[in-house]
Amino acid sequence: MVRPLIPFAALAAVAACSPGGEHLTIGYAIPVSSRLERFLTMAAADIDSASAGRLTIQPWAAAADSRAELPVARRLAAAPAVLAAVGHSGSKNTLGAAPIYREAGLPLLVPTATARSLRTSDAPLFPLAPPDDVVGGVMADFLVDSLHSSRVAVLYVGDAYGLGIHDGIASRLRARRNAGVTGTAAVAGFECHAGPLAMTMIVRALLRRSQADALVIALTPRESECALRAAVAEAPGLTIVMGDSFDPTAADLARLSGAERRAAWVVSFWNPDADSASRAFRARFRAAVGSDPRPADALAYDALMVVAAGVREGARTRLSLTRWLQSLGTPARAPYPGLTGPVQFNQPRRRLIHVRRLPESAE
Amino acid sequence: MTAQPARRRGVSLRVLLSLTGLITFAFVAVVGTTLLFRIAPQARQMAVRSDLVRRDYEDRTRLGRSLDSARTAIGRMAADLAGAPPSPEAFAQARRSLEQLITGAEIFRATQRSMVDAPEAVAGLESADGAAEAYVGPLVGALAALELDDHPAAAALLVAADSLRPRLQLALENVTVQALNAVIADEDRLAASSRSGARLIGIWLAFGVAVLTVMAGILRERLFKPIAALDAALVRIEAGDLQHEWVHPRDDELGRVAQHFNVATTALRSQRQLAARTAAEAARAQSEASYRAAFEGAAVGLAELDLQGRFQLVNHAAAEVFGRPRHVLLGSSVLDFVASAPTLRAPWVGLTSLARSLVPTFGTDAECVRPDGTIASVHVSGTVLRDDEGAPRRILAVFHDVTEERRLQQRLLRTTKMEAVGQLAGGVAHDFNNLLTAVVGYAELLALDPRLPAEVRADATTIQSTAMRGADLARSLLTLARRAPVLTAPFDLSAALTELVTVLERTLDRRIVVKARFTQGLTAIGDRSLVSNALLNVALNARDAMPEGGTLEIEAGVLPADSPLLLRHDLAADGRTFVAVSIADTGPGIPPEVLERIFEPFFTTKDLGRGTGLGLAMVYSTVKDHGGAIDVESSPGNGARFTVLLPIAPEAAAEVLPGGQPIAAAAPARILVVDDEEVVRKVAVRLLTHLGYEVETVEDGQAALEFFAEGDRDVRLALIDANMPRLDGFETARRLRRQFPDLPMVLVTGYADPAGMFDVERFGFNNWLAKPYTFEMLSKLVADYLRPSPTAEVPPEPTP
Repeated sequence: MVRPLIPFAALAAVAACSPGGEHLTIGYAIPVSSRLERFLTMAAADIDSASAGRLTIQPWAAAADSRAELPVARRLAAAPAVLAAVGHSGSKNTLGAAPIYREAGLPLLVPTATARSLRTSDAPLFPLAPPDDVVGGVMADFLVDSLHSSRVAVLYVGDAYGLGIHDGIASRLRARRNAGVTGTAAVAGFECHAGPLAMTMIVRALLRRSQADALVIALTPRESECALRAAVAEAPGLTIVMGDSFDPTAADLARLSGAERRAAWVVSFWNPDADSASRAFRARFRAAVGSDPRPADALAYDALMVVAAGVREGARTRLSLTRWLQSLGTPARAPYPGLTGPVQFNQPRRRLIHVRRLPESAE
Repeated sequence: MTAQPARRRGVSLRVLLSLTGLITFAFVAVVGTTLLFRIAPQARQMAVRSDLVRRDYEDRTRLGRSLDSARTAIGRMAADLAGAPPSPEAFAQARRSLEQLITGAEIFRATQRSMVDAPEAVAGLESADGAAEAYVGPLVGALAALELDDHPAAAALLVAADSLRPRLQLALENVTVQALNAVIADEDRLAASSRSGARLIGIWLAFGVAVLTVMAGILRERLFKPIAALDAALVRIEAGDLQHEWVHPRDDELGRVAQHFNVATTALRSQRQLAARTAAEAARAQSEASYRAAFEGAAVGLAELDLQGRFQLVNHAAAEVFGRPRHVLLGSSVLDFVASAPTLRAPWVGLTSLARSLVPTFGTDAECVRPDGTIASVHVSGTVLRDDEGAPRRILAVFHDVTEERRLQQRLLRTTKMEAVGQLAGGVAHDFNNLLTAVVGYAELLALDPRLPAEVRADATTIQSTAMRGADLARSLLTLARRAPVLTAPFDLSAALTELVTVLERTLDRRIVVKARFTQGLTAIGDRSLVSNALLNVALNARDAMPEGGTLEIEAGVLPADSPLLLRHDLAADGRTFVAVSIADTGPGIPPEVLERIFEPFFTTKDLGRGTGLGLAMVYSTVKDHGGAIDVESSPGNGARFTVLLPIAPEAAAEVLPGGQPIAAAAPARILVVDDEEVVRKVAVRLLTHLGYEVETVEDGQAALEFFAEGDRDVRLALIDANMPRLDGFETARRLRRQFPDLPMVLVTGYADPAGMFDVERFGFNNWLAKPYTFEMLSKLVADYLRPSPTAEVPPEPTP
């Protein structure tokens, strides 16, 4: 764990000796894997350049255990040099740590969490991903407009994520009037833990009960894959749209059959081929990390670079940075041009949402 | 201001108070910190955790019961499938119940995880969540299998769920245990903190009490007692005692305050003194201004003299007293304006030496010489002005011009003297004239008696004329006293002067040479006898001034209209012409102080028995009664010259009245003579009888009234004396007039009030006749009233 931190320490030392003399850091409040370490090394260089040497990244120093997220949040809030934080992993951890950031006045840029309550929190939270209900609305439009579905079944996990997707779809379809949710099933998220039987029964019952021509799956990644198999097995021609939580790696894709890959549409917040910047980032990421970047990587990168841009523009305190972030997208300041699109926090970034097919192969 | 005692150096009060505050703050801080940051948070945390544990336990218990209920319901549904399969609504109801559990558990978990930060607790919760989700998953699947009517799958899933139930129970219990352990740990920490906090508070409390007790004692000595002393000092100051000082023995803040306080009181004291001095100076200036105004506006002369008698300040009135402008007086000595005679300088010397005198004030009469040579009588008073130390600074002199007052006093004195002389002369003249009346009357009877030898009748005539001169003397005395009228008939002044020269040449010492230079034909208006007597008096005084002989020079002549003599005596304005008769001697002269009083009655420089002091007074009165003036020029060693100025008479009027013969009675008539002097009654009887009248006499007015009361007496004329015992002539005449309106009555008097003599008719008299009267005068008067003529009723003008 020590060796990967050497580049960050070096950057911190450089920053401390920088002409400005300020030593500001971004606390990275997401458990760091080896893949993420390489990503952060790459991002740290970009941040150093973007902030004129004033900003470094203070990475997750504890074990990659989600149970340490609150202590990590407290540590970051107590460190005067920490100008902003990026994290946490998921809506649950983010909402759990929000009071800590609120008390410290520390702005927290949230790359991937999508819970609706993030928008209504009184803590200085700046989510880069759109909220679940908005994602659900986009999914509903896609189902009706692109896939011409009129009877939609929703299989969702009974947490904030699943409820958000469900509510967004239901609300949007009610508004459109030409389609509707004909069946729903809420699960705990551990249905596939002991085998696929339970999920198979749940999906089969849902589909028979709803007579749906499309199925939305908003579950945890593991349960999503399990539910996808069950749905394809039950109704081979069924249109299936997966929530953004389903972000399969190559290994995940490799486990899916061709029918399963063909049946599934996936919601994503970044398209690596959308523009040259995204392609360049993918190339750099591949070179630095050894694998393709995922939408969460792009969102995290944008979160880091937004902070760097704020520092570059003179936001050197937590309060000033908070105000600077709040001003993005307002008449006073243009949105930050991020990889994932214009970054602003005064309204949901609906344009980030993309629905795509799963690749035919794992390549 | 009392001297401040040496002050001890002490710890600064600021340090002392800061130390006290610091100790108090430290005490409060320690106790507060202990309570706030050690005990209270832990207590609050324990309370929160206890509440969480309670809620957690309740929620988990409820969750467990709910899951068990769901499991039971699903199991019952599975068992019932063989008989009557559940309706779709029943499945929907069961499914909703499970979904509510799932979504409720989600919220429940989120709430708990925000409160628990211990990794173990988080791990326990995660484990519990996982166990619950794992337990719920097969149940949801079993319910779906039942809905699909897949009993084997449902049974398998229920079995799987049942196999997970112990794990869930264990996880829930673990969470509760962990929470309880956390609470117990919190309790232990709280108890330990409370004990250590209580110990700390106790130690600090004891230390604080001890230290604060000591500090309180120090503060009482160092702060409260001095403040009490300050309070007392302020009370004294408020009461006006600016002499009071606040004595503080230490050189600390209060010591400096005490210094400032005492400096302030000293300043206040100085200000008060300054204010008092300013007020005094203002009052003094006001007083000075008032003094100046009063000084300048005073009606009496005021002057401030230096100690040498030089004028330093003079007001207008003083300048008028001295007859000089102020700038002339300023710087000059008062002695510069005083006659050189030592007796005249003495009062002024006394004034200038007042500062060296033992008496504080000075007052006397003095005289000063004005630029025109006149002498001003001044009442001078003075007092010494002294400075604050009592040293004489100046002399304040008051000059009161009493010249007019002195003149009035002298006039009053002379009037008083004249009154006395008049009283005396009147009495003497009355008796004297009575006697002379007898002498004159009998002498005339003898002179008219042809039976006597010529020598005897000549002697009788001499007796008669001498007696008449004696009467003139008496009249002069009455004139002096303004008790006798002055004749205003023209007379031959040259003849009178000739007679005077004759008398002088015959009677004076041969060593005195009489030189006379005057022209004949000089006339004057007045009483020749009185004028002659006056000139004689002056000549006799000249004689007395030359006991060893000398020259007595008599000159007379008409004065030109612009003569300085006339101007000096204010006689030039009325157009009259005056003749001046001057009588000069070559004696030693008259000293000024004598010259001033020379005409005062009874003033004489002659030895006792040699002068009465009335001579020149009568001269002065005679001249003044004649409308003239008398001037005296004399200086020591140069003799004296008296010049009498008399109004001149027109030559036509200057006739000498011829003498006449007695008029015998034209017809027999009875005349009543009322007089208390028997000799007068007898001579009147002899004269009137000699003229042919019948005469009755009574001794006074009362007797006259009784005389007439006895019956018709056929009296044709009453001659009534003025001054009589019992009833005087005036009252007698007034009463007789009421009884006898047509009876002629003549007042015959040797003395009478001049004011009443010319108004005898007011008392009922028809005329009056002065004693001594001549035979001729008596006969003419009587004849005027007893002449048998119709015009006899018209009385002639009174003829003295």
